[in-house]
Order: sequence, then C-alpha cells, then structure tokens
Amino acid sequence: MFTCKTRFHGQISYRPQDVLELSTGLFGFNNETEFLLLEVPSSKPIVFVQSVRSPNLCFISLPVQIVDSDYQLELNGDDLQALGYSATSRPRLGRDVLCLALLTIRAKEATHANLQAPLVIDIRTHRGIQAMVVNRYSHRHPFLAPEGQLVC
Amino acid sequence: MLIHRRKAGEALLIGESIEIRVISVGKKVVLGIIAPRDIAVAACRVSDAAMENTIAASHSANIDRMIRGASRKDVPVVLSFEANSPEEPPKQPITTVEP
Repeated sequence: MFTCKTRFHGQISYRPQDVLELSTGLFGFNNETEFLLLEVPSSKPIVFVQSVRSPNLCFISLPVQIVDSDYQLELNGDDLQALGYSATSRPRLGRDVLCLALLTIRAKEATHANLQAPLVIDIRTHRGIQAMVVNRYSHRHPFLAPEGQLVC
Repeated sequence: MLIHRRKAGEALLIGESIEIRVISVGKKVVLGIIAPRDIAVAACRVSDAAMENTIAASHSANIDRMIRGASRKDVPVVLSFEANSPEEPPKQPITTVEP
C-alpha cells in the first residue's frame, strides 16, 4: 500500500495497480501523468480525479452518460492508438472504456461539463488519455445539477 | 517566433496546405484559415481545453469547504480497475461450520 495526500480527502492509501496512467498528461497539465479515481459514497456518481504527485490538483468529474445519457464517444485515430485500440475501432462506453467529463463548478453559475475533451480510460490497462472528440460537443456544456445533490 | 505584418486581404502560407488570410482588422483581427480539417480544429481546441482544465482545477474556497465537509463523514474509495477485470481471482467461498 502507498499513501497519497489529496486535495479534499486528507491522506489516503492506495494500491499501485489502481493508479491511472495518463502518459501524455492532461491539456495544460502535461507533466501530470498519474492519477487516482476516488469516489465518496455520499456524493456518487461524482468521481474525483486526484493527481498522485500534486496533492492540490484534483478534478471533479462525472461519467459522461450522467451528463448526457445519449453521449456518443467518437475518438480520433491518434487517441484510439494511444489507448491501445486500432484506428478504426469503437470502444464501448462503460464496457471497454470509462469516460469522465471534467466539471467546472462555480458559485452562482451553472456547472459546466467538458464533453469535448473527456478523460477516456481503458478499463483493462488503466491507461487513459484526455481525448479531443471528433463530434462537436462543447467544452462548456451547461449542466445544472439538482440543488444540493452534487457535492453534499 | 516569426512575425509577419499583413494588411486586410493579405495572406500567408504555412507549408503547402495551410493558408492564413487576414479578413479584417479592427478592435479584433479576423483570420480565415484554410487547412486540413484535423490540423485547424486541433490547434484551436487544444488551447481551449488547457484553459478549461485550469479553470476546472481551481476550486473556490466554498467548493473546497463543501467537499471537505461532506467527505469528513464519509470514507473515500479508490476506484479499482481490477474489479472489472476478468483476471480477478474468484472470491474464496465462505465456509460455515455446522455446530
């Protein structure tokens, strides 16, 4: 077991095999390549994307299907290959890959979900990328959660 | 950085396939870009994505307080990928001893 300091949840223990590897990092955070996905039972289905090396860096995310139940994941060839798929394959949401939309939560503003650049994680290998989807989804998709249900 | 001066209507070419034309110059510069679809789209959207990530990562003190408060009552669980993996060893059956 290893331990890691987190932004919201104090110090936590984790197993090395549960580390998510993003070999190219996230846009604007290219050096951040190792993350843990944390869930807190009372704030499900929110997934906290916590950097292993930077305690202060933690994204708040939701599976894309929660934001848009009809979400279609269309990856470009480069992103597919980075995930270990052939350039023409269509990995299935929830079965082959976990797909998380990063949220921007602001007081007095609508919460936005980034549906254009979701985190796509291959469930078999724990490798992931921040994809740039081919479809015209917005990187600021307004997403209004029912009052009090999101973070409490 | 290579800097070019161009008037409205003038253009420049990058490689053989990318043309950037100045459409108009006012308070804002309007550029027209002709390029293979994937190059132009990626170049513009990557910086948007980086900006959006930076905003998404900077939580207000309010959000920090709310989440920390909520998680104090609740233990976070590290999501394990192994749970979904077919290689997961079968769980040991619980054996009960009859008295």
